[in-house]
Amino acid sequence: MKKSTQIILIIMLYIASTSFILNAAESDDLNPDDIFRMSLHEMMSVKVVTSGKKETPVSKIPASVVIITREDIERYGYQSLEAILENVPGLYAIDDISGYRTTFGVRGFWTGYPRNIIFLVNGVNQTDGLFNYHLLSTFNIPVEAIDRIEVIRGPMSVMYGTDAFFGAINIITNDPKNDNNILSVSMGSQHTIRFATCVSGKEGDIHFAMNAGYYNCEGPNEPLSRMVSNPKSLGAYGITSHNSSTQKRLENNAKYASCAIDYNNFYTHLSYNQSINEIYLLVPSFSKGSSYLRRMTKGVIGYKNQITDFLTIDAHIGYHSFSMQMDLDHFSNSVSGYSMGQAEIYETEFVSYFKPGNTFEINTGCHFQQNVNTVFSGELYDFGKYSKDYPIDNIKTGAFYTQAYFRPFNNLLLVSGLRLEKMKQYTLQHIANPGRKDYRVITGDNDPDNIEIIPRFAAIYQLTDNHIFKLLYGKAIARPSFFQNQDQVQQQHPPLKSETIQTFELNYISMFEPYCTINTSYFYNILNNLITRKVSPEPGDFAAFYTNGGKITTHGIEMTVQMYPTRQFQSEMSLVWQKSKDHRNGFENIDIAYSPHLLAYLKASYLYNRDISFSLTGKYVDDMKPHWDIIRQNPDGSIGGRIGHKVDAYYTIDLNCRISNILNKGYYINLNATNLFDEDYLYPTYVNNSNWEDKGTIGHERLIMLTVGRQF
Amino acid sequence: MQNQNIRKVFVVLIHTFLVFTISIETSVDASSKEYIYKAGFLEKFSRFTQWDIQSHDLDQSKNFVIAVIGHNPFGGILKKMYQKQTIKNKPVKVIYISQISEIETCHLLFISESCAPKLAKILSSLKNKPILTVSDSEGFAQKGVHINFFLTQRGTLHFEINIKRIKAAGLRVNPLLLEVARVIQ
Repeated sequence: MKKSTQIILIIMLYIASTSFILNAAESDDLNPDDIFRMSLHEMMSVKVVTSGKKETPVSKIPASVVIITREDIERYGYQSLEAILENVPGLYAIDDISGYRTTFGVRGFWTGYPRNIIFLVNGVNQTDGLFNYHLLSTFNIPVEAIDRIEVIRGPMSVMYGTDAFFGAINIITNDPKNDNNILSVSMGSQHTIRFATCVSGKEGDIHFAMNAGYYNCEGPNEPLSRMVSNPKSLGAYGITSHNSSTQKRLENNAKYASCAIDYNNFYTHLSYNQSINEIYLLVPSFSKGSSYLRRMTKGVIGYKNQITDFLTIDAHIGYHSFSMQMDLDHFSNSVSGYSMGQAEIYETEFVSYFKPGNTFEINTGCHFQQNVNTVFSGELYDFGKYSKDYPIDNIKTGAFYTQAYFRPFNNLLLVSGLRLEKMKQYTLQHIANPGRKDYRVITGDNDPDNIEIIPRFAAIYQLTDNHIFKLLYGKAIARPSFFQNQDQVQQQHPPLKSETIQTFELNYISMFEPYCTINTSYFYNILNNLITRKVSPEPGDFAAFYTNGGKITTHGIEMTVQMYPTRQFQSEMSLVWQKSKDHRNGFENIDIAYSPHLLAYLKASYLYNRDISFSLTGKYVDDMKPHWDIIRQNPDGSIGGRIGHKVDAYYTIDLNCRISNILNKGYYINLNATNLFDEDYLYPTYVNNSNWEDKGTIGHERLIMLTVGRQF
Repeated sequence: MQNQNIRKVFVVLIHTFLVFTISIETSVDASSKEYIYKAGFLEKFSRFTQWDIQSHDLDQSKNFVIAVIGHNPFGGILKKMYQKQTIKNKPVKVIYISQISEIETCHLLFISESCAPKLAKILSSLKNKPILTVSDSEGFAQKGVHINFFLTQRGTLHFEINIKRIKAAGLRVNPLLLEVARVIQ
C-alpha cells in the first residue's frame, strides 16, 4: 500500500472513531483552606495571570498562531526544540549536516540559511548579529525549561524588524513567579545523554528562575554511500574504507544556562549557550570531523509598569555577544583550515501600550541597535589563503513602529501596523593574504538604505461565537547581513538589496462542538529579491557570493482539525498543500527546490489516569528536489541542472509514554521513540555539500530516549 | 520479513489505539491559579447572597448545589475544593451538566464560555428562578448573567454584577459585595 494511502486511512479511522464523553477531573495542587480564609479584598489583589492580560484565545489573535504548551511538551514527550517544531503544521525540517544543521521550511519555502523565521526567547531576539542567523544550536534550551512556545506564522517585521519573513517563534521559559523545579537526566540512542535542571524561587520581593542544560550525542553511524551515487568518487577527497562513514564525525555537544529575575517592576534575563556541532562542509570529513563552535551570551534589563489604568510602558536595554569558530577537516590528517567570527550588539527598546477603552488600543515603540566589533576571518591551509572582513563603521539600525487595534463593532476587530526602519550605510573592508604576492585590500559599502516602510493589516470578523474569519496582510523584509555583504565586497559584486515578502491569508476558524475546532487557511505569498548563496570551487580557491535571485509566488491551503472529546483523549490532524512558482526567466517549468507540495501531521494522546499518558505523533513530507544550478555543466554538454537527485516522500511515527508523580514525590519516567519504524529517508542535497553528495543527506534513524526526572 | 511483521503489528496497534477510546473516570491535573481563585470566589458570592426562602426549597435541600454547564474549565478543582466545605451550613455538591434540560434544582450555576451560542436559551429557562448565575466570558453580564469574572490589566481577578437581573431572580446581594464589584445596571 502506498505511504500516502496508508496515511489517509489512518486519518479517516481517527476521525470516525472519536467519541464525545466528558468526564470530571481532579487535581491535587490545591490548598483550599488558604483560599477560603482570604478576604474578598485579598483575593482581588492576587495576580492570577502573570502577563497582566487574559490569555487571548488563538481565535482572537490577529495572526496565524500555533501555541505549544508545557503540557503538550510533556504529553508528546518532545526531547528537543527541533522535535517540537517538526510537528508544527506548515513547518518541515531539513538537516544538511553542514554549518546550519537542522533548519526549517515554512509552508513550502526553504532557503537553506536560517534567516526566515526569527526566534525569540522571552521576547529577546536570538539573532547572532554576524550572519543574522537564528540557529537552534545558538540557544539549546532544555525542553523542561519551556513554559510555552508561540509560533506566529506570516510576516512579522512590523513588531520584530528585519528577518521575520515567515514568522516569529517566541519561546517562553520558566516564569520566575511560577514555582517550577525540575531535575532530569535522559539517555538513549547514538550514546545521547542529556541533563536539565530548572529552579525557581522567591526571596522577599525578588523572584528568580534558573535553567541549565547539557547535551551530548555521538551522532549517526551511516556509510557515506547512502549519500553518494558513486562512492568511488570520494577517493578524490581522501576517503577510504577507514573514513567512509559518519561514525563520530557528526557529534553534537551543547551547554546552556539562563537566569531570569523579577524585582517589582524590573526584570532581567541572562543566558549563555555554547555548542559544538561536527559537520560535513564542502567535502567529506577526513578524520575526526569538521567542527563548528558557537558561543552566545545575551543579557537584558528592563522595566515594565502600568502607569495608569490605560497606559503601560516597557523599556529595556540589551547586550548580545556571539562568536564562532569552524575548523575544517579535509584531505589530510592536519587541520585544513578554519574560519572565525564575532559580533556584539547593543540595543534598546521602548514600547508603550495605550488602551483608553474597550474599543481601541495602540502600541507604539522605538528600537535602536548598534553592532560593534564585528569581524570574520578565515584561512585555508591547503590553498594558502587568508582573509579578514570587518565593517569600518559600527552597524546602526533604528526603527519606529506602531500597531493599532480598533473594534468598531462587537464582532469586528481591525488591526493596522506600520514599521519605519533604516540601517545607516556602513563601509566594509576585506583584507586578503597579507605578506603575499596576492595581497589585496578591498573596501566597499553596503546598499544605501532608504527608510523601509513595512505595513501590516488584519481584520477579525466574528460571524457567530462559533465561526470566526480572519483576513491578514503583512509585509516583511530581510536585509542582507554583514556576512552576505562582505562576500559581495570581496568578490566585487554589486551590493545586495533587501529581500521582501508580502503575504495574504484568509483564515476561518469553526467550532462545531465544544470539543472540535477546525482551522482552515488559504495563503498567498509573493517573495521578491531573494538572496541565494553560490559556492563554487575554482583552481586553488573557493569562491562564494550572493545574488538577488528574483521572484517566487506561493499559494496553498492549510487545514487543522483539533478534537478533545474527553479530558483523557485529544488529537489533532493537519494537512498543508502548497504550490510555488519561480518567475525568473528560464525557470517557468522548473519546480521550486526544497518545496514539498504536501505536508501532513497527526497527534493523539491518551491519559490512562492522572499520572500515565501515551501519545503518538506522525508526519508526512512530500518529495523534494534540490537546488537548480543555472551554470551546472552536464555530461551531455548541456548547461543547467539539479545539484542532486530528487528525494522521495517519507513519513515518520513517534511514540511516547510518560509516568508521572511516582511514589507521590514528583518522580517521573518518560520513554520516547522517534521514527519508530526506522524509516530510511533523505533530505535533498544543499549547495554546501553539492560537490560530493548527490543522493541527499541522511535523515534521522530510529531514536529511543529514556528520561528520569523529578518535579518538586 | 521480520521487520515487515513487526511493522504490521505496530500498524494494527496504532489503528487500535486510534479507534478505541475508553471512558474511564480519570484524573487529570487541570489546576491553574486563575481557576482556583474563581472556585474560591464562588464561596464568597454565595456567602454575600441571600436566597428568597419562600420561593425556593433551600431549607429543605440537603446540599448546596453548584452546577457547571458546558465545557468544564475548572477541571477537578471544584470537587476537590468543596469536598469538605459548607455553604449556608450545607455540604456542597458539585455537578456537571451539558444540556439545559439537565438544570435541576441548584443554587449556583456556572456558565462556561462554550455555552455562548445558547446563552439566551439558558437564561430564558432560568428566568426569575433563584439560581445565582456566574460566568467568566466577556459580555455575559450585559446579556443577563448575574456575576461575571474579568481580568484586570494587572492580572488580578475582578467581577461585574448585573444588579437588575439578580433582583429579578429574587436574590439579594450584600452591599459589601456591590462595593467591590463593577455594577451593571
